[in-house]
This record gives sequence, structure tokens and C-alpha cells, in this order.
Amino acid sequence: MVIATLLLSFSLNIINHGNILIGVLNTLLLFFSIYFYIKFSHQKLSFTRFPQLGSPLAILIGAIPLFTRANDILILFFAIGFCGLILFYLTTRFKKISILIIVVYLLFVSLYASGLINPPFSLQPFLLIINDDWTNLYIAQMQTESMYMPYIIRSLLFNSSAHLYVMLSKMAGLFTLKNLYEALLIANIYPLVKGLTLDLKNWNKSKKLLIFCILLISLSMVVSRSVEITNTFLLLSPFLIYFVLRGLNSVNKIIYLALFVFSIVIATSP
Amino acid sequence: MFTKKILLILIFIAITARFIKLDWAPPHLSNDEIGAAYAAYSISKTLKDGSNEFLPILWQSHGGYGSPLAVYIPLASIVIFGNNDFAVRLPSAILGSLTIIFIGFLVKELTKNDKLALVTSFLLAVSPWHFSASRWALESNYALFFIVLGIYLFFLGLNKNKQWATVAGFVSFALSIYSYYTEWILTPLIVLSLIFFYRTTILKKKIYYFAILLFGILLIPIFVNFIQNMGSSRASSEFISKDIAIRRLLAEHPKPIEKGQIILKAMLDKYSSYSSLDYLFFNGAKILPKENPYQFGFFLTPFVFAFIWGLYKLKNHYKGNGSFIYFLLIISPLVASMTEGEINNWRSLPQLLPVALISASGTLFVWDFIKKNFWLKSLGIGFLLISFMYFFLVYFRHFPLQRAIGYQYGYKQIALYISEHYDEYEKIIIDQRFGDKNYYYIGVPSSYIPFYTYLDPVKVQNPKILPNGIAFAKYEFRNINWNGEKIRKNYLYVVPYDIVPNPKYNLKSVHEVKLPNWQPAFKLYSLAN
Repeated sequence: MVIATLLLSFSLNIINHGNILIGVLNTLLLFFSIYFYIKFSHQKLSFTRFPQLGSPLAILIGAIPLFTRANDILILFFAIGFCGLILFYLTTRFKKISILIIVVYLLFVSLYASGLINPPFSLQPFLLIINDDWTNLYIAQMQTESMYMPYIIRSLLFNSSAHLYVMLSKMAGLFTLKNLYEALLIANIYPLVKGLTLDLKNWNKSKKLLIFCILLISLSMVVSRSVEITNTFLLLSPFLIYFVLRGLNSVNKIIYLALFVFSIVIATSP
Repeated sequence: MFTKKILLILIFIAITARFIKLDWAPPHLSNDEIGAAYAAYSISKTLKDGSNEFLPILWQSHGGYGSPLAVYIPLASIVIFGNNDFAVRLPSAILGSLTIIFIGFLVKELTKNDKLALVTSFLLAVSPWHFSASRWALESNYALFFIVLGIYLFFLGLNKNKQWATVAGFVSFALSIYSYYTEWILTPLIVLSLIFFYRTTILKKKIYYFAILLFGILLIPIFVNFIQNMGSSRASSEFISKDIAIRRLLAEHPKPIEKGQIILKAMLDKYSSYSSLDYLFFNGAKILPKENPYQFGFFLTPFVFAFIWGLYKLKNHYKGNGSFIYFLLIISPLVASMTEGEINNWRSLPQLLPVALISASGTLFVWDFIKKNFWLKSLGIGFLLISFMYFFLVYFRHFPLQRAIGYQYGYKQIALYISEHYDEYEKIIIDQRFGDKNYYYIGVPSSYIPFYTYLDPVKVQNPKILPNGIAFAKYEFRNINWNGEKIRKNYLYVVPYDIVPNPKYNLKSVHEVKLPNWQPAFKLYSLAN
């Protein structure tokens, strides 16, 4: 079943891009994401069937647009590298060191993924959120309009911390339905939500890794004025696939299939 | 008990704040407000609206037809308090305040949990968007009140077997349809969902058959009127397919299946915007210009965590009623998603109801979780206080300064000047443009001026149509082109401040209207002696 999923993903990649390298990288990323799910839920890898998933529906995971439309080779390499590090964390005894490596790695790759560094090493500081002219202009205007207050209070109330609020707002805007269905298809939002709910019900300390990584990736991606949605979701792919696969076993198959057909209708819209 | 008292005091303060300085924030009656206010004034004097229609159901507004209660609700207030901003906005403030109270009753009826009821009322009371909507003569705010009241009465009737409540609930649902266009689709969906979710009880009792029949009968006049005005009504003019980008796509893809796909995708994209967390908790209230970082959502930002947690924990509080609230959450942005134009928070106002119920549920869980930890508790309360303080500052100070132009600020001030000097002029010519030379908007001074100057509505109902505007009584509302204008003695000319007359005309500025930020807005000229 895993092989069928990967083959489906690879075929769609070839159809979309006509480039074997991109196809291989995308398929590899999907494989690592599935492997993360298997490792994280303490199962053994089987290429002939999805662990815990009796349903052939799992093959449709191969049609997820995130792994069939991405074409930035560098970001795909980074995402695969991130999956490797996460898998290393799951298997190693040196948890603290591996977490440190993951954090440093994520901060580094997010500079590229968010467009703040153009390959190979061209820094784009004007893209930093703190350099947003509109925000800075309005901070100054809010201060000017508050002349009735003492200077210290004015500058305490209206200052560069507004950028943090903008970042949080952008973070909240990352996980819109549109972004999710463009990355995963509408049908897969259903198992994603199921998976999240199941994990919340069976919460344990190990799940903190998921929350930590999701927050870190999201936060490091919104330091740029123009948020690269696809790159963000590529870095988040092991966690997204984890929740989708976690929930896939408990979805109503007829509803899932109906949603899948609906997803295709939307995805193929002119 | 202490927490409950604090919450009650805070709710009381937030309700009181809805009535303070109604003529300052928002800074001026908006285009829609003045349309409804003038129609109400006209009906109160002549039983006819501005377009000479006798007691209209759907009244002719600027560029479309307005809903009935938008006019008939502020009518009494205008009769009592006169033609001013307070009178126009007072009913909205009252209904907004009552919504806060009835949402609490609704939660109490659904959960029997006093604390949750208070938290929900508190959440709505301090909601930036509800606060803002309650200070506007906003028909979608009237509709929200009738929906909340209708649902509360429905459950009162259902749980306590009170027949009057059931009937009154369905009457309230009908009134919500008379209040705003969003409810034309939303309310029937709510009614159908209530019938579906509680069918085992409803289908056994005759009173529900009667109430549903009454609901249908009450809607006959508005739908008959709608059909009569089909060509120009909003329902036919604001569908998403009228969006410029969508229209272009539809023209490029004439096949019916492709058209269906395009419209479906556009609706889904819009639904996504309306349901996103950044819209609901960071920038949906749209109080300041969109580039300004000091934005607010429907609810204060710290409640975003409570909402997420509430989504998961809702059923713990609401048990069997949880499905109905999830359903409300799903359908509340539906109608707004089907309409053209930018994201519009008026149309998505009904989202306040399910999001408040869910966030309140989450807030109670979060509170129970952190209440034993002094630091976490202080942090939570601190964030909440800071958010509210920012909102208060932004709303009462920066909002009027930064958004006055959008409200056609200045026409009221012009009217007040004219009221005092009306007899000094033979003719008053008012340019319909406002803004500045970078971009002039077209305003509706022909509604503002007669409203604030108490002009006899009969004179407005029979206007003279000019080639580039209209005229009634001493007024002409048209663009002023100084090069072609015949300057006469005892004429008053009102223009945007940067349309400066040629010095050869010897016109002197008799009055200047400034925006709240002290930038000039309009200048009034007459011939120097």
C-alpha cells in the first residue's frame, strides 16, 4: 500500500513537472513523512500495507497536492533534511542535543524558505517584517495622534512590538481552510481534524514535540513580510501527514470518498 | 461568587460604553446609516420615504433596496430624540446590549450553567466587533439580536413547554429576515436545523406546526415585495458571480460545469477567509485602515486559544446541543461567502454567535486549568486587560481620526452651518464629491443636508432632476466646475477643500469644515461684498 501511494505521488509529479528529480524528491518527502508517522506511533514499516490502516483509501494520500505541486528543489531538500532530523530525534538517546540541532536547522532553513535569503547567500533584509513601511508609518502616526499622553506612555503603547502582533496574526492566517485544502485537498482536512482530536484525547508528553515544531516552523516563517505558504507546509509536512494518517482510520469512508470527489472538482477548477 | 460579581460589573461597564459618545465614534453617520435615517425621518413626517413610496417594505436606498427594519426600528427614536446621530444609533446600542443579555439566557437555557452564561455574555460585551456594530445603526446588528432572541425563545419553549415562547421565537426569526439580507438564507437554515436536531419533540407537538405556519405567513409580504423589485434588489445584484475577477473567469470559461467549478471555488475561498482565525481574532473588526497593525478581530486576541480549546471541549458543556452549535458555526459565514466584493464584516456578523458560545466554553476550561497557577492566571488576565485597553484607545481616539473620510465626514457640519444661515442665501450649491484631488468619492449630501436641517420631506420627494445632479428647495447637488459656473450674489457654494475657485470670481471662504485630525475637508464660499 505504501508503494502504491508513493507510485501515485511520483506519477502525478511526472505529469505535473515532467522532471524526475523533482518527482523523486517529492516522493521521498512523502515517504519520510509517512515514516515519521510510523515511527512516532511506534509501528513497524510495511511496504505492503499501511500500519493500522485497513482501508485502501490511504493510497489517495499520494494525491496530496503538497507532494505533487512543489517544485523548489532546495526547499524540498531542506524539508527532507528536516524529516531526517526528526527521525533522528525519535531514534537517538541524545534528545537534548538533537532538539538543539533541529532548532538551529529550522531557523537556518526558514531563512531560505521564507525568502529572506536568496540562494546562495543573498540576504533580503527589506523582506523582514520589521522593515514593513506601512506598519512603521502607522506606529509613528499612532504616536503622533497620542500627543496628549506623556512621551514615555506613548512610546510604551505604540512601538515596534506591533510587529509581533502582525506576526501572530500572520501565524493565525497560515492555517486557513484555503491553505489547508490547497496543500492537502478538502478530503484530507477531515482525517486531519479527526487525527488532531484523537491526539488531544490521548495526550502524552511525547506529543509536545509536534506542538513545539509546528509553532517553531510557523513562527520562523512569518518573520518575512510575504509568507511562503507552500514552503511552510512543506516543512510542516511530516506533522500534517501524521495527523491525516492518525485520523484516516476513524473517518467515515463514504464521506471521505465524497469529499475526495468534491476536492477534485475544486482542484481542477479553471 | 466573587468572579460572577466581577463579570457582572464588567458586562455592565461594556454595555454602558455602548451608549457613550455615539456621535463621535463612529465619527459621522455612514452612507447606509444616513440612507435609513433619512427614510425614517421622511416616513415619520409623510408616511412616505424619500422616493415617494407609501410605507415601503423594501425601501429605495442608495443604489439598491434596504431591508424594512433598517428604517422602522430607528423611526421611533428619531421621532423622540430628533434628527441627530444619537437618535439614529440608539436602537442599535439598545438591541446590541439586549443581545448580550439574551445570549447569556440562551447559554443558561442550553447548559444550566450560570458561570458559562456570564462568561458568554462577557465575551460578547467585550467583543470589538460587537461593540463597534452596536454603536452603528447597523441592520445586521438588529438581525443578530432577533436571531439570538429567536433561538433563546425556541429553547425556552422546548425545555419548559412554554407555547408563547415557541410562537414568539418564530416571530423573532421572521423579524430577523425583515432586518437584513444575510438572514434571508441564514434564518431558514437555522430554523430547519432546529427542526432537524430536535425533531423528536417538535414533530409531536401541534404548536410547532402553528409556529412554522405563522413564520411562513409573516414572510409573505417581504417576498412579494422582493419579487416586485426583482431587477434591482440586492439578492440579484450581490451574488459572488458579479465579482470582477469571477466575471472575467466566467466569460473565459463558458461551459456550465466549469462555471459551476469557478463559482464553487470562489465561494470556498471566501468561506475560508471568513472562517480564518486571523479574521476572527486579529483583524476582522476592520476599525482602522487595513495597513495599520493595531487591528482587532471579532473577539479580543487572547480568546483565540479559548476558541481552539472550546472547539474540542464544547460538548462537555453543551452535551446534546453541541451539534447544533457546530452546525451554527459552519453555516454562519455561508451567506457572506456567497456575495461579491471584499470581505464584509457586516454580512458575517452572525458568526459572533457560535464563536462566542465556543470561545466561552473554552475560556471556562482554560480558566479552570490555570486558576490554581497564580502566574498563568495573572498573565491571562494581564493580556486581556491590555487587549481591551488597546481596543478602547483605538476605538475612541484613533478610529475617528483615521477613518473620518470613509464616513463622508463633513456633511453634518455643513448642514449645521446651513441651518444657522439658511435665510441668508438664495441658493445653496453643494458639490457631491468628497476626499481630495488624488481621489474624489461621490457622497450623498442630498440625504445628509435635509436630514440634519429638518427640511420638509415633501420637498425632497419631488426633486428636480439636473443634468449632473438633483435639486430641491434652495439646494442643488451637483459637481461644481469653477470654469463654467455662473457666480451669483447670495449663492453659497460648497466644495471639497482643494477645489479652489479662481480669484477673479472674488469668492470668499465663509466657513471651513475640518476632519477630526484637523485636515481640511470642505470649504464654503460666497461672493464677497
